[in-house]
Formats: sequence, structure tokens, C-alpha cells
Amino acid sequence: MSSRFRIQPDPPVAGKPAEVTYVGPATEVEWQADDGTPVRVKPGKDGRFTIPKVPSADSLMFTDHRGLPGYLYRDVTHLG
Amino acid sequence: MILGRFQHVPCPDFSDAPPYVAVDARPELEPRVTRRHLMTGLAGLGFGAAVAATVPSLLGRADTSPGAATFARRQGAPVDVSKLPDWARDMLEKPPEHLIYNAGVYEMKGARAWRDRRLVPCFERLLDVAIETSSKDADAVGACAARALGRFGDAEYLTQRLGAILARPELESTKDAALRVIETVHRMQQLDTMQDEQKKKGR
Repeated sequence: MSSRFRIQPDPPVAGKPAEVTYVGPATEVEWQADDGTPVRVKPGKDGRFTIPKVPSADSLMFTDHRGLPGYLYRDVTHLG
Repeated sequence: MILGRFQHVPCPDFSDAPPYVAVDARPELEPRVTRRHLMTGLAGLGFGAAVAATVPSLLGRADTSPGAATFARRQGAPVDVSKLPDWARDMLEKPPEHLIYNAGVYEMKGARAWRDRRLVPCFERLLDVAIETSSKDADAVGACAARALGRFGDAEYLTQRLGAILARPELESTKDAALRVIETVHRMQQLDTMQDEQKKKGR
């Protein structure tokens, strides 16, 4: 199943920036690291937004609240 | 070592199961395996093959019974629906299509509420929906459910339903997530047991 979200690098790396691309109908999306507080983001006109520093977490989750195609789950990679 | 876990897995015979089982028949599990525990766990890639090859009874009995999910829920602690948050109540009451549509959001909400074990039946139902639906999204939904149950430190229901998951090859991500949770929880339980024994020896 293809998601409306793409993330680079994939999988994301803890402590490093990640660039997220969203292609879908929502003007605002949400991401969350593990049990952390959800972060609301308005993607730019090109659908992109950046997570400056990926949290040191197990996972990142993204949603546009518009069904499963608008959801992305990724395990976070930890270097060293 | 790993198989020790499965030798103790209850494998109920549904053919003569009573229509109703006392809701407190199974004591509430202590949430001994915390999320931080799980974070330290590693998934063994060969684990699935080992399970499939060596536990045929697990594959053939409990999981394929049509009443398996209901039976398991009946054995669980009673859920006071009125005290659950609205979204969790929806997970128990709304039709499967609603759960499939919102599976991702439910996983996120479940991740934030991982300490609240009252929510476990909600994600057990999500897993049931994934196993039983013919939707193309079944695998994604099942993976959401399996990961969520892992955050609660709950591998028991995943173990019960593993046969049904393995019986549907398209549930690849669900299988991977379920096996990862089962193995991680098992390892953490082993660690707990070892620590308990060391404490006893130290006294």
C-alpha cells in the first residue's frame, strides 16, 4: 500500500534531519515519535516539511487523518 | 529456550468450550514488560521460521477456530466501556470499516496511552478485524494492531492468533510485527525471571 508520505532518509536516523514529502489533500498533517506529543505541521507548497532532528525514539508515525493511505510508520535507526 | 514460551501457551479446545466463561477466569496480567523494556529488545529474523516449523499444534488448533477471538476476549478482564476514551470505545463498537480507515490514528493514540492496559481489547479487536477482513489494507491494519499490542507489552493474544496470521500469506507485515513482539516480550520475561532468581540467591 503506497502512502501519501515519503521520508528521506528512509528509515529516518535519530539525531539527523529528515525531509518529509506529503502528497495529498490535507493542508495540515501530524507526526509523532513513540508516545510523544503529536506535532502538527503545515507542509509547504511543494508538500515538504523538515524534521530538523529526528528524536531518539523507536518509531515515527505520520498521519493526515484521512484513512490508511494517509498514514506512515517507520522504525527509527540509531547509529552507534 | 525460545520454545519454552510456547510450551506454556494455553491452547484451548473450542469444541467443548462453555458458552460463557467467567470474565475473571484469567487473572489480569501484570504489566511487567514496559515499553522501555521493549525498546531494548531485538527481533530475531529466523524466529518465525522456527515457530512455524516446530509448533504445529499452535498453527492447527486455537487460531483457526472461528470462535477463537471471542473466546479469548471472554477470558479477558471485563472492560468498562463507559470509562474508556471515546476513540477507544469506537474501536470496540464501530464497524470494521471504521477501524480499518482509522487504524493508523489508533496506533498513534495507543502509543501515547501505552500505560493504560484497559485499551488492550481495543487493539485485539483491531487485530481480529485485520485477520478477518478481505480488505487490501488488512496487512497494514494488522501491523498497526500488532505494534500497538507490543507497546502494551502484550504478546499473549498475538501468540493465540499467530496461526491465523500465518495462514494468510498476505499478512506479511503483520506476521513480522507479531513475531517481533512475541520474541521481545518473551526475552524480557526471561530477563525478569533471571533477575528474580538472582535476587532470591542474593538474599
